[in-house]
Amino acid sequence: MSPRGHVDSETEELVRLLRSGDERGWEIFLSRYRRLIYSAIHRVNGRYGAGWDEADMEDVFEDAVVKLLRNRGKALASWEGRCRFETWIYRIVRNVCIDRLRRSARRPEPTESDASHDLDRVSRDSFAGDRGRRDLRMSLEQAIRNVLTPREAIAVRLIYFEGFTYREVASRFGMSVGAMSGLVYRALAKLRADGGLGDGLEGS
Amino acid sequence: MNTPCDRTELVPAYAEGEMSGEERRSFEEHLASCEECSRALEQYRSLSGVLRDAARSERPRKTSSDCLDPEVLAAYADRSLEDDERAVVERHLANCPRCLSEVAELWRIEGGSSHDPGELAAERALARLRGQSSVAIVRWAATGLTVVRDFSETVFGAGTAEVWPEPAFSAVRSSQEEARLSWADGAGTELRCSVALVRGRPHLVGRFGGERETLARATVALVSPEGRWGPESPDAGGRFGPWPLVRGRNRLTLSLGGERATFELAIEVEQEGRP
Repeated sequence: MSPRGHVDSETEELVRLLRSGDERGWEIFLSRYRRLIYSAIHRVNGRYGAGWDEADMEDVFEDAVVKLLRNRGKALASWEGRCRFETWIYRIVRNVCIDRLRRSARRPEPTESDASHDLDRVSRDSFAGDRGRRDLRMSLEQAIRNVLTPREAIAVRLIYFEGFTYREVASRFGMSVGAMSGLVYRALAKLRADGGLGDGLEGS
Repeated sequence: MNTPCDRTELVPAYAEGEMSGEERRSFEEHLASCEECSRALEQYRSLSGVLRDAARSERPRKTSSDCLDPEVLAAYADRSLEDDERAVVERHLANCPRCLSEVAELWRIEGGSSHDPGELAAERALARLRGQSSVAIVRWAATGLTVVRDFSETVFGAGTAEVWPEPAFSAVRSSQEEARLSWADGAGTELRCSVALVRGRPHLVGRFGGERETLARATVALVSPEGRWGPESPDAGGRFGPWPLVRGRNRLTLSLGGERATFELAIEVEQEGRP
């Protein structure tokens, strides 16, 4: 896949400055992207329940900026213009956040409200329950691979495994919520009809 | 045999609370009279519960040996791919939880409300990049003879103040730089302060100017989080300091005694000492 037209001349010039190690590039980069970087950190904080206060987030911000710009913008320099520059920045910022979460020995576990994500229930689960769930997941993975179209599989994974809402997935696919509802309905019907999953569903 | 209901596909949107108020009311009326949709709703709730329950087990490890280039995934996430490329990526994502998770992470952190870390945090990051062993970031505020609105706006009641350089805080990065504040009441009394790095630590030096009589009455003191300097009289030229400043609120008090109120200048210093 070749580079696309996602590189405007301003971004191109900025990347050139960063790669040449010109410090003017740092100031331009920060004035343009500091809000984007900090906002991403805010969202990781919320999403993973990291419990960072403003001072913590400013520390993460510093780490992210240093990671993005040091060594002549090495981390940024691997960007080839296939995706938007902003998305590439998000990717690096996210990795800095995850590193910090790991260092502080917090497991990055999504905390989005999810009606079925009942913590009390998790703690009551027996080993056998975990094993059953793992088996079910394996069967589901297989069924998803075997019977769903790529879009159906992606939608099912995003909604049920990654905690996205219908509306979010619909907007990513450029579909209406109604059309997304239909797509998921058909996907679940296929999963239900698939033999490998039938037992798990009947028992629920 | 009944014709299949054409609204069953809306069951997921209804069950997930993704309908507007009016759509919802209309669908609920329909549900009351449509056995097929009622049954589909029951099945949907059961199946979605099973799926979400399964999601709580550990995500399978890498399931594909040909994971996609991170930039291609990022390009998919921001919808920059051509249709044919997108289809290729979607075929991979459908079977690769790891790559899909990477895309999902990007979607989670993009967009949404905007937060600004402020210029101070950006300055600190730049100081680290430059490998500076020390940077003092100075903000000024004054009370007493003066009116303080907030730290970002230095407005002196009786006189006018000038903070250099702009903006309201100053970053001092080397021994060649300093942050300065000067105040004058327009009747010949003035105070100048500057913060400079001395052996890598910020220090305050100042000069008080005015009529000899006023000068003779003046005493100056600095209280920092680490100690107290003064009160003492400025020298014959009105100079005082250098006094070390430490991170946090440092208070300079200028007392003219008698009828005039104490002048207090708060100097907030943020130091960054990381290599």
